Amino acid sequence: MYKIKVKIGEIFAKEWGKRLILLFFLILMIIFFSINADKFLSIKNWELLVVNLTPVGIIAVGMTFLLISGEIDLSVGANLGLSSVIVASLYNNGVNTWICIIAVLIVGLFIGIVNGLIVVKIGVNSFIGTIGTMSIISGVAYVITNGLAIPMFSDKIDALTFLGLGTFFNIKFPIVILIIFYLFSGIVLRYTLFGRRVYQTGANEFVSRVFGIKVKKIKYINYMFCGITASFSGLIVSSLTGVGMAQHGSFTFMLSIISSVLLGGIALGGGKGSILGTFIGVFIVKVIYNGMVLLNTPYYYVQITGGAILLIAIMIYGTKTGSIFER
Amino acid sequence: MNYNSNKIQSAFTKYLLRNNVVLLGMLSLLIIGLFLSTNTFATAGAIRTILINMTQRGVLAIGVSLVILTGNIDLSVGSIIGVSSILSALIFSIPFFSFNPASTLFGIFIVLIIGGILGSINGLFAVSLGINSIIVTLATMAIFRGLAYTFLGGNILYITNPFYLKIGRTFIGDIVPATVLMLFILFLLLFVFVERTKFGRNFKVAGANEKVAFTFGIKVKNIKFIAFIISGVLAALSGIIMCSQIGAGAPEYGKEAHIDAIIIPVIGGFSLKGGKGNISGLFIALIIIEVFTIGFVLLGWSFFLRQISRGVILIMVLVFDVIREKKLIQVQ
Amino acid sequence: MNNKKVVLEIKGLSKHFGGIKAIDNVDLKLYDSEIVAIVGDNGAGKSTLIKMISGVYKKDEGKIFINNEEVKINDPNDAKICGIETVYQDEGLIPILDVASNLFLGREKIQQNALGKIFKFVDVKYMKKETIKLLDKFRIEIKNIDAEVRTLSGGQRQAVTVGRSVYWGKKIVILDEPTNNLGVKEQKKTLDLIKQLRDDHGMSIIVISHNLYHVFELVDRIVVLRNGKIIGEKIKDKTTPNEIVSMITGLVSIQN
Repeated sequence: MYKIKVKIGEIFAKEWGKRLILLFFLILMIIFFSINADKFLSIKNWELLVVNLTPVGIIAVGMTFLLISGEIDLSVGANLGLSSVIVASLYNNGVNTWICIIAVLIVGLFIGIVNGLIVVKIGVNSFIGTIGTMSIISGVAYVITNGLAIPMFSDKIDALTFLGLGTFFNIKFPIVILIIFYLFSGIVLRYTLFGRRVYQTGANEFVSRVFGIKVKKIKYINYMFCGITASFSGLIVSSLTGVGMAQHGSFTFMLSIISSVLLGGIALGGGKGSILGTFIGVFIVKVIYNGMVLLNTPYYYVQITGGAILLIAIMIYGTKTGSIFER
Repeated sequence: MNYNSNKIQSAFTKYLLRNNVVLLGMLSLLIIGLFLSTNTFATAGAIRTILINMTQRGVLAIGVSLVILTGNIDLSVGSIIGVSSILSALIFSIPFFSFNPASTLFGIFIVLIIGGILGSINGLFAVSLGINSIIVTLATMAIFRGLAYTFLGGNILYITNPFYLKIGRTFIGDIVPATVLMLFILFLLLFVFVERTKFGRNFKVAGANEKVAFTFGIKVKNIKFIAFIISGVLAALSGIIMCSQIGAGAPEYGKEAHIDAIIIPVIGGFSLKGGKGNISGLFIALIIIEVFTIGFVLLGWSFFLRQISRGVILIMVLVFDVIREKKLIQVQ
Repeated sequence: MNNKKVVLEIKGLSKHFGGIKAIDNVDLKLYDSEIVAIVGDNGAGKSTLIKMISGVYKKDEGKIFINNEEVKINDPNDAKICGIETVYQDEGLIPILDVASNLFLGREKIQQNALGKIFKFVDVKYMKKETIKLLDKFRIEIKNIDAEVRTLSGGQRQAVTVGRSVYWGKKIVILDEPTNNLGVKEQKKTLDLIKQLRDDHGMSIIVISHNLYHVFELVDRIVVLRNGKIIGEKIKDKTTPNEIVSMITGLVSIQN
């Protein structure tokens, strides 16, 4: 038993080892589903998959930055739900499309600031603190809608409808946004000074502070960034589904984002991870969900799988010093 | 050296009292406030409702507070309630288990064991494998909830076992539910266990400083594991009480229980870092939350508004916990 | 003491925590090209004193002078700007980052091109090159400089931190228990490195140490701290370890 542990530890110790295993697992999943579910390999399904992946993918980037700097935001799902509700309500009341969009982004920013205040400024544990804000935000969304969905009526093509349904040189717009966003974020995280600061903050807050790095500012920025990605994704979801509802930001949704990021190699303690890893992680989780949906698995099995993936992810990438096999 | 320990002891009791004085003060303010602002608060009906809900929440709080005492958290208790609810309903739909009080007890026993098994799953990942308990119980919260739905889909199942229903529905003098007695006994047991027994006192030590506790021969891992099992069992018990009162079991019960699970212990003086806890404070905190809950209902707040208010209370409680920790460090 | 230039001077420095005075009215001079040891028992205030000079703690009273000009040191960056480099007791390295990242922690080189000016792209090549140069100069052997520093031995890590103070140090270097967790061979190497700082680079160095053997091997002057006050200063050649010990423990108190 110990020998197996050491062997696994050796493979996992190298970053590329982990990445390779993940990639291998992703391919395995794809093969599995293509055998068992017809239509899985069709272009239409894959286009749908990537489009549906975009909201998770965008928030995952915000979450990546935040996690690497050592904090977490569990309120992103609720944030998305509230954003979809707000945009739907405003839009149906005839408010100018661009104002709708900007208003929602401001709400996302505001939520990020509040989370930052509670976690960074006051010092509450980021998990439980954001569980609290998650509860409040989702409550607000439900109070506004009373649990109902708000359909958005539109007969023209404007910024909002284009967001989810438009195409850019025959590629669905969300996919375009996804690719550009990932490229941009990946470059910032890896090559710029700010990206470095994020890693340093998460790797060792105390030493970083001694060396003059403004740890609190970095975390604040990441909370605001995370909040905005969540509300932006809310816009995309509203546009895609044509509906604004609090239920968009379900607990399972939030768990899938965390799992994606963890599977992508971002350690819970901070200091480790990459955008590329997140990309793979998001894909793995989405492939599994998509496959299960195609196989008509009941929702509760999806939920169980979601929790299980999270557990497995944390076992592989739990700490900044490596998997639990490396202790 | 004797007079030193006496001084420490009396200082400790003073702290204990001081802590609870604040809570008692809060409670009195709340009661007075509600008394003045609604005309339904001081009625027997309101008090009866408080007492009814108190057991189910109290049992839950006792279990979770033990986990918190040892330095962990159990967010999956709400989902365990869901599992135990639907499981109870299923078990008692089998005639064998509704035959007589003994077989009913047997059925309850099975549900409690399942709760313990779920708790030990938490223990396996959070203690044996050493993974952060917040994330573990976040994951098991989803897994157990999904599990609850696998039995009958989302359907609700009614329970007709008369002995079982009696649990939640017997009253003393028409106001006080019999289950409140059970709650009192549980609290008493908890107090004796944590404060007076050798094994129980180790819980606090294990939570306060793992390394030191270990070097003193305290089996820290065992203690933490057991705490999770107890939490699971008590969460299952909470579900059983709830179903007995409602008369049915459904997989969605306990959806917001994890919020209560954090709020009540922290208000009651338990530190989320572990090692600190005050049983009498826990009891008062339980009453405070009950009063809050019924207060909001009487004030006419909708279900979702109440959810928001609980979230706000949670944040306030967390902030308060942080400030309290900082103040203590400064004093030292 | 001698006619050399005063590089650093502190006058009347004090610090309290709550009701306790950790440092009480301390005066100290640091001369050009010398190594001074601050010794004292646990709790005497050695770490607190140097943390005030290096900016980690804010002083409550007193003044700090560099080259006879008063300076305000309110945070670690101020200290660095004044030319004071500090090597901390718990190494001051980020374990999961590599050597180059640790060397340039907080002072990364930005690329000189457009990418650098607009987006603040970091010049990784330059930092790696400089790191290799530094390691070569001090003959520090590290096989893989991209490895996380937590994989290095205690001696290598110590060498990196001392090397860092050399690289960035302009005039004053403070070392808090530099030989604490090292093996004998590594201790010798560290002491040699410190001597190199004074001899080859003309720096002024303050060393905190419990190890009187190392102190006597290394320093020019010894300052004894007890209960937050300086109770004596001795030139190394004019004293003995026994005398220092009795000053530390307080059996004898000698004012110079």
